Amino acid sequence: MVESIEQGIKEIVADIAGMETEEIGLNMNLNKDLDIDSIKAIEITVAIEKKFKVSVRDEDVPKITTIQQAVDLVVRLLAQKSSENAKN
Amino acid sequence: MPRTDIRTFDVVIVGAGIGGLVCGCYLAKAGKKVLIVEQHHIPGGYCTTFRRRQFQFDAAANTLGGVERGVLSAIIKELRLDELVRFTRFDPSDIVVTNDYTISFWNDNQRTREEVQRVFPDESKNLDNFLDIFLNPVASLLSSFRYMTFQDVLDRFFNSSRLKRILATPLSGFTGLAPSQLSAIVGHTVYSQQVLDGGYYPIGGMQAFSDALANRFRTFGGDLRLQTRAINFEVQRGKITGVILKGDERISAGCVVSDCDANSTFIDLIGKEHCGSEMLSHLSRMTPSVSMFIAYLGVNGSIGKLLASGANIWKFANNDLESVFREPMNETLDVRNYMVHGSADNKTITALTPALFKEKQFWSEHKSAILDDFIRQLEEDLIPGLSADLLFKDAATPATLWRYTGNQKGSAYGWAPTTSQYAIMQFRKPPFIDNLYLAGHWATYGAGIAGVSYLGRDTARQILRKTRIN
Repeated sequence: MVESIEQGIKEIVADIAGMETEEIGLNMNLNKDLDIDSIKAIEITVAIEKKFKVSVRDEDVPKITTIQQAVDLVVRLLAQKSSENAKN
Repeated sequence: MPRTDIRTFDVVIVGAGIGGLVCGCYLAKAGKKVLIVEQHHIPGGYCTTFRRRQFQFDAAANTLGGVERGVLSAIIKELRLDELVRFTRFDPSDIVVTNDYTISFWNDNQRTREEVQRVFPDESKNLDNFLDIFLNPVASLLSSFRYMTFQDVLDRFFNSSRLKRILATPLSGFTGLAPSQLSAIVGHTVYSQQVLDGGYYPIGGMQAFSDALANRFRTFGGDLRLQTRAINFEVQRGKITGVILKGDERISAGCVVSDCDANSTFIDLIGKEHCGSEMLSHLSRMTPSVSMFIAYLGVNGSIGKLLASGANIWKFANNDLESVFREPMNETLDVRNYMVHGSADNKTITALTPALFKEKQFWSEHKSAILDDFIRQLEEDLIPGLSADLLFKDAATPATLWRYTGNQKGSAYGWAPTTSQYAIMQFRKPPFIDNLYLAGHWATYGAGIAGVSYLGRDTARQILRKTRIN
């Protein structure tokens, strides 16, 4: 599960940074290593929301600075979603 | 007979618009062997200048934004363009004229703020908050715009619909869209750069900026061929390997950047057979931005002085920006909605009004009547005595814009920058074909010179990163 999230996020970032998925490492810094500026960070957020059907809080967008942080966020959001679904 | 002396380049760029020139400069600066081909006899795309008799006119774009605080500031520094071109700045950069008010956008944003606050005292605090998101953007606030239109942003900050309309007017003009359609992210970029850091003018004309880029490209070792048309991309096993130029000349290319119209790129250059039905169907669902009817007028200095030198003066008689841009013409053009710009030397006046594309035949029948209507309207609204003192008049129609730039339907800003047409990856780096990038306003990453400059620079960086790794 985590692996497929990792892969999905690497694909999104690779697309937006104009790189190959295999070139994206988990510990890469979005801004320093991949030239991701604030506008591209928003594009990544939109792509993540569409792909994983989650909703990222506006204030969390600037907190995503590495690939790993994006993965952790999506894992957390999906866990929240499934626990909410379980409650309903 | 086909020529056999095949030339090889690391990158071939089709189109010497600002996106193509900026991209070419960064690639050539990094040591890449780059060829730019351009069908026109001058570089610049919509950023060009021409002469008629003693008058000099900027063809379409007539000021630059973001020279101090935006992407152009970085580009000018990194490419050392300040050695080749100097800029002046018009103050105010923009003036919005309505039936009730005239509001100026001054170089000093504080002055603009005070002027608006005097007229709309109840919105004083709202205006501070609104301007703050452009002058000191906060990432979380910006990310809250990601699904919004610019109208949503205006509604979030203001109560007065009159003020919203005044603030949106130059932005609508710079993007060819009403705020209710415009992507808030594109709107934010254009507002920060073209409206709040606008009014810059290359000394000598807009062409001086394009020429500076072209000259810099050449001094970095780049090869710029004008009056050269690309006919086809050579595609082998899903990969672009070269470009065929008019006259059957084949150029071998490591990668290709298209800075020309999207339909030309996908249908004419790549070829339908390589695009796949999904891409072709996506292409047919896309909407281009509006075109323009542009009047070029030569006047004596005393008439020219009736306009604030170099300011973009916006006057839309129609209160509904939506209909100004969505339905700019029925049987004929509604010339009551326009932007007029007087040159620094007061000798020429350029006026633009949104227009829909019609074939050449239509314009040869109607152009001169529309131009005379337009002149009468300008005379009635802002420039008394204009028609009596006119020394020269001509106009560019959507058909003219199409002919000189190849932009489909004479579109002024590429794909309309709506929320649904912003940042579509297939239009920037098509996934079904290797080694191809789009870098102009058809790549869905922003409108206007600031937008394509950003994209040109970013595309060069992507290509360089990729070739470094390979």
